[in-house]
Amino acid sequence: MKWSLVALVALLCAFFLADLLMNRVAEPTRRGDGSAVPFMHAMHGDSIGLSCSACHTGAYAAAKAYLPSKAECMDCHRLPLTESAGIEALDSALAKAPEHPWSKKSSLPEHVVFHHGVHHSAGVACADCHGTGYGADVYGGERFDMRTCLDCHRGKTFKDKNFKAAVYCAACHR
Amino acid sequence: MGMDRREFIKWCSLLAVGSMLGGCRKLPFVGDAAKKDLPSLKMFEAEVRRAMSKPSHRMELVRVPMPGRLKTPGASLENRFGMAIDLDACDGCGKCILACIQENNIPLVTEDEAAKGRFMHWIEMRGGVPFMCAHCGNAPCERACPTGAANHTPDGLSAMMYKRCTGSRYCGANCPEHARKFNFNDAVQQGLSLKFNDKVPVRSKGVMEKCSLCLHRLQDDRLEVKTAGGVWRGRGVNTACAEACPKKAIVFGNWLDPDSPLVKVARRRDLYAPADLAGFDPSIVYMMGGK
Amino acid sequence: MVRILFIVFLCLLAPGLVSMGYSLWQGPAAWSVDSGVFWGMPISLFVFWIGLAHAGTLISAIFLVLDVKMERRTSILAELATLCALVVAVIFPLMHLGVIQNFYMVAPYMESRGSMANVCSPLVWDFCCILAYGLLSVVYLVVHVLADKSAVAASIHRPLAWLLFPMVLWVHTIVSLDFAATFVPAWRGAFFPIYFIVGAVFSGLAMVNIMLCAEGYRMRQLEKLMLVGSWFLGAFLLWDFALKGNLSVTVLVFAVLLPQLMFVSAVRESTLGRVLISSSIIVGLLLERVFLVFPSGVMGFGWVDLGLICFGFGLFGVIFLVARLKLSRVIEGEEVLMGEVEETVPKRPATGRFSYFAPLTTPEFRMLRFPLLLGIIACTLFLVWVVGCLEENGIAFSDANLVPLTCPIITTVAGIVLCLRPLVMHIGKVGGAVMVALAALLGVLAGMVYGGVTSVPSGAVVSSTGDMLDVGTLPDSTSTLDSVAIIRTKAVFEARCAGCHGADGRLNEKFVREYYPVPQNLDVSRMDALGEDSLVNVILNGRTNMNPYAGRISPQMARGLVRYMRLLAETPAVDNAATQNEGGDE
Repeated sequence: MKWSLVALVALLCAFFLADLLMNRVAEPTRRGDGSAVPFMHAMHGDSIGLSCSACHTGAYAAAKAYLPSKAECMDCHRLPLTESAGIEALDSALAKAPEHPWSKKSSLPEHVVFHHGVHHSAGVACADCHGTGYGADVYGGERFDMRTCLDCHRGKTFKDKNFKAAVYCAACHR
Repeated sequence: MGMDRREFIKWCSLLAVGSMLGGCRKLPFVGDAAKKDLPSLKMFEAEVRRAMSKPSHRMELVRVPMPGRLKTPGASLENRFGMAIDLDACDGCGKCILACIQENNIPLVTEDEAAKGRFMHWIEMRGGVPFMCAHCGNAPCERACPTGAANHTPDGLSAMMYKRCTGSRYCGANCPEHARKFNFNDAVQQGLSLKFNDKVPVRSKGVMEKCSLCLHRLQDDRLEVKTAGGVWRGRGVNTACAEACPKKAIVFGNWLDPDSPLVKVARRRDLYAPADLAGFDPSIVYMMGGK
Repeated sequence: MVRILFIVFLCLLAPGLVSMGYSLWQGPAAWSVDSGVFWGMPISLFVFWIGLAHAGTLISAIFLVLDVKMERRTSILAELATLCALVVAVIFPLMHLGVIQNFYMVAPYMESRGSMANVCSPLVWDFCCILAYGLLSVVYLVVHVLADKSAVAASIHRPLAWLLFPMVLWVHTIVSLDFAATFVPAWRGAFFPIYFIVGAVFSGLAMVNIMLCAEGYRMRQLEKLMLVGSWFLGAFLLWDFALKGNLSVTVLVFAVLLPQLMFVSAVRESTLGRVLISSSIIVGLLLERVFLVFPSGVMGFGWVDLGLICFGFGLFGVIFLVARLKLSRVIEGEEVLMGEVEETVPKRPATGRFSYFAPLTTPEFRMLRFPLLLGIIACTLFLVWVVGCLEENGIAFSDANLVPLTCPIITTVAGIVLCLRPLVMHIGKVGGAVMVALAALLGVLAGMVYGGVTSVPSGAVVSSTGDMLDVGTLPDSTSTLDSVAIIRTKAVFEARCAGCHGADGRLNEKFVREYYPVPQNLDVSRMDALGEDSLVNVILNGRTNMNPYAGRISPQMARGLVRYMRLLAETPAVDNAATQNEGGDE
């Protein structure tokens, strides 16, 4: 009897281990010299009336949400925005920053079609998928795998929001 | 036998391994075939001409009514995409085939296969009649696919999900008109493929493919319209073959949209479908006479 | 004798391995299929070898439960032949796949991505049935071999045989449905299941007969059955001819006509004669499968096809001989006796076996009751789950599509439970360790199958847009804020302009004044006064507190933005608070 219990435990552990290893969740890899520009999400959000798409220009209508280029930062930061002490350091960092301070490698496979705009129009909030960690400048940790997408598309999660999503394969794959 | 058991087993294993490796001729130590150069557009054009020069007999066509709503549960009430090909206008020039190749990154085939007349083109000329997957509403291929890679969208497309395909070729065996093509070769590695269009993925070796009714164009249009909050009827979308036809013989549209150019044209004509497919509710029909 | 056989089979296996290696490398292009004929030699061989496997089970399991007296040695050897044939058979549907690593997608379960196999397809039923059959055959052989020594094993021997009996018929019925459940004219026929089963048993009997001849045995019952089989097959072939007009004379000759020579006593009594007739039957049935699967058959044969045939026979021979040698001590308690002793099967002794049992009280049934119950419960739960998965996936199906899955599930669960009970009671340390290792292996396999193939990210670099969101259609006098044409312009406005000008065009109060100089108040009259062109100019070339956007926004888009802003200005400022607060954290 004892051996059968041990065997059962071994089976379960092996199962979960194998599943974990086979299906690592997509971890967005961020590169670019983002450290050159000390950016704080908290200062760029609702407090100054900016929506996500102000910097992530594609978030509401395009397929990709994009990351801002330096020119986009300079649209506002062309002037010193506050009189606090740090602003000089910020402005000099901005002046020295490269044209595209941030970029990332897409973790989306080629055969998947994801369109940010259509999700925004359907009422999905940015935080619903991306969480709220970015508010404290904590990135990554979003669970982007097909199952998570399907759970929402099939109505298992976000039940209160009553999304009407497409559930056939060709809606998102090509 | 002069050797003992251990030696015998050793020799047997060596023989076994050697045989199997001998079969895998392209292992690195044998000398990897260098990645071939990319083919040119001229090669694709030449292959289309070659395909069209092969003798082929015309399919038997029977009268069919105008396609309507899909009969499956969950089918869309607003959209059923399809095409009508005007056989009185078509002169068999083959520009649709080339346009399809360029739109969908269809690969060339090897010389052996070309000699046998087996090409990867999604549109084929059969006795002067352009033929492609008819996107049957009750498709025998979709029923047969074990993994669900061949499925039907609510708006009438017979979709092919390449990543879900395991290459059993059961669907291909089940198409009465042999509309499906199998990727026998790794097209990229053998220098048979040119990525004309970034929007369409290049299929890997071992998966089935067929006419997708330019699914990527429909998808992009749908996403844009739905982002703007509109009701999507697919207006303004055209397939690559329909665009390329100089005689406007191929008409793409939405069978359930009375304003669709497809319905407007097909209403006035007699509609036909290949006899083998007529019972499966095809979405792509032919027009002859009846003006 | 054994050594000669070994050499022969190894010589068959070598080119077979070459073909197999080449086939695995090249994929389906290697053997003679093309876009006209999609299924070829591997599938013919699969059907052929599964058929051969059935005869072994027939002799060992079915004859056991039907009280046909059989020498223990013969039945164990037959069961061994089943297993070896199954091993060979299973290789073929796996290697014929275009993308072999996706094979797990055929199994009817919901994997980690949330996709479900299409249960309407006979290939899915095939997967379950063959898996169940293989598992049960392994268990059965082990039990059979142990039955001599262990009373526990002996007690579950017959119940297990009862479980295996319907499995045999079920499996080959499903294999026949691979063909009959399609619309292909050559594969039509409600008689296909019986036709296939008869063909399978017939070919298997021939194989067992050859094996018996090699061992120096003889079983007259078997030969009579073979003859009857040839008559049945002849009937089916003629029926097929009457229905569809297809007849292969070669198959008729090899499989039906030549075996009638068994009536000639000279042929019947000589070992060589019997071996030749049995070989003729095997060849005939192999060809029959080939012609069924790809009618253009022999004309398209390449060296790979021949090589795959050799692979099948070679692998079967090698595995069988190795297992036979390993098991000989167990079966006989001494070294190999093949061909060294001429024995005949003892006449059927008068037994008292025909004692009466009241219905449902036989000892076998009493052993099977509980496992069967568990099997039925497991099957019901499984089917309920499968139906849920299918509905979630939107796969249309009918209840009839689920029936083929019932027998494999019930018999597998019942078989495992039947064996598990005595096993769990009597396991020692070594046995326990083995069980744990097996369980871990099973868990790893299940986890890998559940996880599926890892997706490959495209790795495309995403940074900023460049000149994204071309305007497409310019807003015009007919546009409203809801127009489809507006969407791109609106997106650019919200991205680039709303920071200062506000999403509703009336200043972002949270940012301007406190952080940034206040922009001009652009209401309708002011905009009309300034004129569209000058405003476009401001966007492109900048102004006091506005960066020039030329190079980042096209002149078309700039014009669109001006028109959009005018549209916003025309819209009354209702619900100011709501429209302004399209903040980040909703």
